[in-house]
Amino acid sequence: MDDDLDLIKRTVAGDREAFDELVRRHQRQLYAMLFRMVGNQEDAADLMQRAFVKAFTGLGSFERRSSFKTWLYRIAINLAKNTYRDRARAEYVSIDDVVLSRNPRTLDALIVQENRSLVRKALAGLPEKQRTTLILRIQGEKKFEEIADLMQCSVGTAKANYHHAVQKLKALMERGAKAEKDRS
Amino acid sequence: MSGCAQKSLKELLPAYREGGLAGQDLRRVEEHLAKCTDCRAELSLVTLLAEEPVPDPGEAFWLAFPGRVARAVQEQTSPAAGSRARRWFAPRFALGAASLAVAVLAFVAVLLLRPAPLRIARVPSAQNTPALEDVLQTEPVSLSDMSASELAAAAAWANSAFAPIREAIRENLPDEGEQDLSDDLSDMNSAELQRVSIMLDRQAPSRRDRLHSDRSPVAPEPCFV
Repeated sequence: MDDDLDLIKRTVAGDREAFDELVRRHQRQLYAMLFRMVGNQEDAADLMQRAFVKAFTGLGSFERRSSFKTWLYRIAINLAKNTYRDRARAEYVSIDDVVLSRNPRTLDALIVQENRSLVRKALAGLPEKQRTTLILRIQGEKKFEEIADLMQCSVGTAKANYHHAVQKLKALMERGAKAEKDRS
Repeated sequence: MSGCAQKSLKELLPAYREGGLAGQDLRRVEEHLAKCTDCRAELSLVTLLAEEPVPDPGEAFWLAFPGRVARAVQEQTSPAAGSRARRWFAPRFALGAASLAVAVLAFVAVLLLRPAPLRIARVPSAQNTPALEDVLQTEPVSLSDMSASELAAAAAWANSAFAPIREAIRENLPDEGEQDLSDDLSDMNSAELQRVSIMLDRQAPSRRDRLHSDRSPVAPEPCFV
């Protein structure tokens, strides 16, 4: 964070190279998070560019109450929310699409490769805050305290969103397992 | 199958997968996983999500991306600044070329507006001194019709009339030995410097070669053919 602060000061003083370095420092991780949120490379790259531009133009008002990374991610998440909100409405997750193993430990079968795309679809069907929390916790490996800071909620709320997200995903799989069991 | 109600343990599953648990927490989770199918299933789900691959757009993308952000910032902060930036990228000697164009246009305007060559070239003889107005109106000058003395007079006039314009052109051409571009160049990043270098090489390779070879001042190219 100290290194980021130094680059921020230099950027505000007019050093363009300093902001280029900030971009290079954070671009890959930010891109990965955005890709998981929106599901395609083009949108992820576009959102990432917009997030950095917004960060640059707002650097003068960055109050340093959080790290630059958290602040940047917050900008990106808010931008992604608006993009993904419209797209998620168009997606439909049908429980019939869930292919389940005949293994009695049905949920363990999720580890099978072909279930990846189904889990992705189920993720797309989650409410936005739950999906974002799940992505940040599991794929972004952020602690609940960091997630709370990013999403500007309490740690308890972040944990609750995470729990609800996981339960919903599991419910989709369990309903499918039950349907499969009833058919056989 | 009823879900496991141990929320505090479930919260630890991602950290367990990441290898971030130790001591008592690690033992608790491992003991619980041995008994709880619901939490084992949740761990499988967490693992599947965590291992979701992110396609890499490639090194060229990463290298170019800061420049892309910089251009977007320029466009957004000021459209005028964007066009200023585009002009700023142009080689500096384009100023000299623009001045040359202005000087050429000024010379052409002078030629069109001034009937002086006719007046000067056509020295009236003692016997026949038509009125200047008559000559101008009825007799266009053809160089082939002019005598040697008339041609010499016309050339003398042209040299004297053209001298200030020639001087103006020389003054506006950048002196390659004196112009200090270091401030401008230091503002450029490596991609921009490379672009300027390529443009300079294309524009005046012969001049650049002469500079490197003898360091003597390079005479300006003739303005008119």
